[in-house]
Amino acid sequence: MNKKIDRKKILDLILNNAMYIIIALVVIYVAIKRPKFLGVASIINILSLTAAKLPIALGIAGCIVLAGTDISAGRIVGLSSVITASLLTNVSKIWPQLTQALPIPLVLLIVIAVGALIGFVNGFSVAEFSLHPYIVTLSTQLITYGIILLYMQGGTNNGMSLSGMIEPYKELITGTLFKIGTVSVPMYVLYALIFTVIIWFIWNKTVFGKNMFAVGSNPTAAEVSGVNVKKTIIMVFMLAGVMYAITGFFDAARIGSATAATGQNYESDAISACVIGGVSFVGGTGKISGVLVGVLLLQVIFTGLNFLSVSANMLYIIKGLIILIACAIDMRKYLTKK
Amino acid sequence: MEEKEKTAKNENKEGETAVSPLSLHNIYKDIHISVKTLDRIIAVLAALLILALVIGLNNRGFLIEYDARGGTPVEAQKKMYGEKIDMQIPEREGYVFEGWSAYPDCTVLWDENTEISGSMKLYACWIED
Repeated sequence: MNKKIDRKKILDLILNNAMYIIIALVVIYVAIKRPKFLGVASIINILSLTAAKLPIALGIAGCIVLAGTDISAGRIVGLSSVITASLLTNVSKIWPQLTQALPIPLVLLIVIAVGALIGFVNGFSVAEFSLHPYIVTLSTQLITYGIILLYMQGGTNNGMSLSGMIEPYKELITGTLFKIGTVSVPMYVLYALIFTVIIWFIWNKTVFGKNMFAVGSNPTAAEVSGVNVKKTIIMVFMLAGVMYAITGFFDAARIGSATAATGQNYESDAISACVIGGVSFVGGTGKISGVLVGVLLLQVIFTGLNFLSVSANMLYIIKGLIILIACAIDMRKYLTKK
Repeated sequence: MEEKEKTAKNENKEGETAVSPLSLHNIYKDIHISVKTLDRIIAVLAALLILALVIGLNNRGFLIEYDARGGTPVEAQKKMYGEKIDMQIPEREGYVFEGWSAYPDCTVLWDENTEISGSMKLYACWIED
């Protein structure tokens, strides 16, 4: 009897952690094949990329806690990125009348406002019209992409990629925070950490955060106990929009240019990171530490596969399977609890 | 089929009686699947993931495509991570070859010493002679 229970426990442990086991195996394999993978430069590269993708994942995590999702995230990142690149340059083709870059804080405020506005549209439609977030954010994803394409056609730009941003802005985002040996850690790693702390505080220490979890686990019960469900939903989507805008603001400097394709498919990585990190589609469950681990693990596996020259085509299939497995494990946890 | 419709109806009824926006509800609530079946599904998916990884590892290499844009065509190359492109210079009548660029508008030219880290397409940049 005991043996049977033990076997079941071990099986449970293996299945619930199947994703982590596979990722660990891949890391070991990559490290054996390419020892450079565990070198300082590579580790800092992984940490920097994790930091770059953290804000968007933290935003989406809130929507998933509500038992929703947000697939407009990547395009909001893209829009924020192109707005940033077009305003923080001394020779803006989109705004030819602009002979000098706008002040950096003003541009940050503009993109945050744009992100919050799209987030508001998402949240308002979900809360007021009871539309499923998937449908709402699918439509805003398309609308935002259309806006990006139109914006890129503005002035004399004709849809060309935007680059040549001012140095103070690039320095602010990609400047050296500190150096380990000869490898520098960029400034945006620090910003990503600050945002993680802020979101952790919002989730765990504010009434809004507690309401978000309450609405996520049972909207009806939340409403009965006096939570303004609609307001909470709108605010979660707006906060998410702000986080996407910040990701875009970093990305223009991090990549060094912005195109209409910037941010494309970012949401798929962010959603998979959240689910791997234990933010459940059931709603009302999730931790910031989980999101952090999820983003990091995904980055480790993809950087590792990139190190081994696995083509991007195959990575799409691998990413898709990772999402499916993460969902199946998430469902399993729910069913076994029930 | 009938059972499915029934479930959908039940859900609608629940949605109507509730006061809150029930577009947000537990997506696994109406799932009728045994843990055992789910375990098998997870095992199959994990096997597929491992298979995808193996296929990926057996077909390694990034495809570097060249768009000569009116110049003499340049064949695509397969390169590994960290390698450099084999610089090839196409010819085009009435134009001088400036270099390759990852951007069609040639905003930044590709430095031949840059290590490759992914598949990409390079565009020929021309200046009128």
